[in-house]
Amino acid sequence: MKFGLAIIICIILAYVLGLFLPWWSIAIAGFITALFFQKRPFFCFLQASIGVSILWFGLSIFQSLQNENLLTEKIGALFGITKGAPIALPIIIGILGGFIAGLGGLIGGFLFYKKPLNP
Amino acid sequence: MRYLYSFISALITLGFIYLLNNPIGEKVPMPLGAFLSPQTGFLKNATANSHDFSELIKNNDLKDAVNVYLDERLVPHVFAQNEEDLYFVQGFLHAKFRLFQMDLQTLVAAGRVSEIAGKKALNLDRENRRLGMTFAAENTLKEIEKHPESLAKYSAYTKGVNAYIDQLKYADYPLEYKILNLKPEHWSNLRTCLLLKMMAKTLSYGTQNDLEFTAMKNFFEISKLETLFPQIDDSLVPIIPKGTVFHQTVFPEKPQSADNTYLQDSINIPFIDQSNKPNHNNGSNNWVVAGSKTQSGAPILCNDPHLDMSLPSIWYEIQLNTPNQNVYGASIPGSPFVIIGFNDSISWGVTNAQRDVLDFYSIQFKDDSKKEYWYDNQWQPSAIRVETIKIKGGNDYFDTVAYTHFGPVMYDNSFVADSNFKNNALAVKWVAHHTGDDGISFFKLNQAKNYNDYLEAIKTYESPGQNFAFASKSGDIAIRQQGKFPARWQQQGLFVMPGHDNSYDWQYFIPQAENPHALNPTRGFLESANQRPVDQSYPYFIPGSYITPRGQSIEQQLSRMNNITVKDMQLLQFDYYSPLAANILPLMFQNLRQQDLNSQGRKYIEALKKWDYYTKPEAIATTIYQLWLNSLRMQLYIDEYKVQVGDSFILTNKNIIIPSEETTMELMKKDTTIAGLVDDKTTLNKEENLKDIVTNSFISIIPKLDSLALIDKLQWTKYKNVSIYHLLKTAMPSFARTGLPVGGWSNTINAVTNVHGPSWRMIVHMTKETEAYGVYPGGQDGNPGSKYYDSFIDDWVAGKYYKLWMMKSSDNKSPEVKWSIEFRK
Repeated sequence: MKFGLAIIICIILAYVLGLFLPWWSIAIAGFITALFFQKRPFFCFLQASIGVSILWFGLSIFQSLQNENLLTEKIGALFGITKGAPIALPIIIGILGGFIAGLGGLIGGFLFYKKPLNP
Repeated sequence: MRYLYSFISALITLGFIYLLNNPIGEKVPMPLGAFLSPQTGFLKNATANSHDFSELIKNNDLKDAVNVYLDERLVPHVFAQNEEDLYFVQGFLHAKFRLFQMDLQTLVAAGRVSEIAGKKALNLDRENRRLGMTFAAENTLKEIEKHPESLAKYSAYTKGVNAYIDQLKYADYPLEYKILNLKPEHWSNLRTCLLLKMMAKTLSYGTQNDLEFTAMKNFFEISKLETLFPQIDDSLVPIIPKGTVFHQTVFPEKPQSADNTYLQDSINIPFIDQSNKPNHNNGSNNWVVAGSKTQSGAPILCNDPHLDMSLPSIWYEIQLNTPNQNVYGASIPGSPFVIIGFNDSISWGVTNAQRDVLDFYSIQFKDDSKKEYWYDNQWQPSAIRVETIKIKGGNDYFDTVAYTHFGPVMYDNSFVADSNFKNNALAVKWVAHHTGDDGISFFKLNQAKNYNDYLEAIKTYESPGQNFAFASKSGDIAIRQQGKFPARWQQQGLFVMPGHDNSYDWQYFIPQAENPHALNPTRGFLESANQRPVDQSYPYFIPGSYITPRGQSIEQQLSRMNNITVKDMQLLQFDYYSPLAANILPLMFQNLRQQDLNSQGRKYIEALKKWDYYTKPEAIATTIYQLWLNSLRMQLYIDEYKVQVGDSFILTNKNIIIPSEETTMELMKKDTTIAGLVDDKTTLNKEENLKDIVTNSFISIIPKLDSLALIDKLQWTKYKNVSIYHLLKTAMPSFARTGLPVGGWSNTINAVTNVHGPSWRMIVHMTKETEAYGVYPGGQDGNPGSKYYDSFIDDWVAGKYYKLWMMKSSDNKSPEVKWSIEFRK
């Protein structure tokens, strides 16, 4: 339950920070989420990673669909993705965002988690 | 321990962020993080199909409120209270929909492409700098600045562009900036001038062949060159109807030494790569028919300028309204005003004059410093301009350009590596270097009410020379070839001229009043299609790269048409008939020995014999004909330029051109020896006649035709592959539209080649309530992520037109208004 909440908080944080700060603010979102929900570093990575993956994948799919995938097809082709770019690109974007945010969470996880790491 | 782990993960995080925050080489020129983030990156440019373009813009530079209404094609109808606000908003809209295009084109003009493309663009940049593009733009700006009223219009436009740029965050940047990792650069009046010089280069640089003709003096006598490259085609139908009386008030004097030295001496000029020379097919059609020939009794004006087609298109449709004017038409992003269009009283359209307005002079420097050159029996100082070219990923390049009194030294030993070029050089003299405010002519046309206003508007227009067609609601039709043209003595400027002798300089310009013009001819129509404007009765020597066939077609058709309707004009603009094919193909058949062909070859000939000379998209005959004609011209002429080295003949000098299709046709008609060139001189033991060459030229294309048939590319449109590329060309293949099913060729009225064609088709019926139609191969929004990026292309391909809506301010509640942009103080 708490894990789900952490994911939601991370999504909101990442989205709001993203309105004002450059793209790498997703790492800050992951970090702050780790501060709110102090867990084992692995879970801090996971909550941030899942949260931002959902956010970035979701926003990408949404914007692409609104555009009837016109641009994702064209950009996909620039990167050599000839088929399925409207799905492939959002997945890549989601994984990438999740990974960076997860790393931010990991920093916080190590920093804030007070219990011994190897019980 | 935790802290150490935390620190390590922080380092890893920063490492990845760094990696994703920077470009990774050629393939990935953009920082991936920002580019892929759905909150800042390319997806922000994926304009929703239901996007609401309405918005409110506040700006203190405005004097009054301005309302912009966008219709369903995204054409803005701008209603302003004064001119400055009007051009401010035009600048803002150009930037909003076409910023990258404006930016890129002026970077090209200023020789600054290396800043974004790196070293591979250095030669192009040097070429534009050495041609003096910025020098020319600066000179024009100085003229504009002398007139506060004009300056205010350009400055308002510039402010509008910058107002748009200033409100942009990374997430709002046009897509191309994100891909190339660039920032939009501020606009300036100089950049508007640079854009106009870019047009001048496109339209009046490729119209001379001085270097080629000079090189060809080594192969042909002058008289032979005159035969092979005639000033006036036999089949010419000039713009100005035959029989018009012309006057001459200035008399240029041929230098005494011209016959013996200038025309006879061959000077060795090194091979100069001219691959960037603008397409000489940059042409256009325009015509006007008087009320006497139309069904309605009102004149109709038609125009389709042919240019390299690109996405975004060079044109942007707009209506510009103030209490003093109401004009609609095609504008060029980067410049205020409507360039081709109509208002409530008149309409006008332009085609290129194709005149030669650029000459090369050979210069002798005293030494490598290039500070002095020999002129009028003494060493004259040159002005040195050092061009600093910034190169992405490299050191700045400093290019020293010497300016003579003719103009900049374009080619010297620093630009062209050749031992012939020790202290020799070529300076370029070009009308576009020194012109006044050419843009203001369009401003005046936008407001013109009648023939006199039209004359007044264009009389100061200098470059690039254009044929301005005109029609008014009061019933006048007119055409005028307008520009600043040197008054040349016979053969002046066909070849590189001696630059040490002032008698070779241009002595006069043709007085403006003596430019070819016609008004209300009894036959009831006027047309221009890049042909020579006048027949031999015009007293001045006017070389150029004229194109004859389209004019013939238009003239033929218009003279037999009556009760003309708009529909007739639409069909005429879409006409695929090739008068050249109709003239030359029977001659080719006459000289073909069919018995020498194999069965495959005979099959192709059968197909060709059934052809009606219409270059329709699906016609395979067009492909056969065009390949055959290309092959024929090569076989007729190319051997003349080859030099025997040992046992073989090779092409040593590549500064050559071969006689045109038109000339080939005319020669075949009257002289089976083709001016004595028919023998292939590389076959030493054989003497070919025309039948041999025609037959051989056909036999040689059979394998090519077979292989095309094999991959189903024999149909004209498949062979031609009409493609409209994004401005970044093949670097962005997915932004292009390729394989468009359009027929035509550069010599048919519907002049679509593979990358070139009617960039704006417009028809204006001058009835009481103007009835106008238009279409261009592109879309109003330059954003490749918008459905308006290429939304007109399919209709353009199909020959369909949109009704151009001249909106009234009282129409603001009309259902045709889809969005509105309000500009407020």
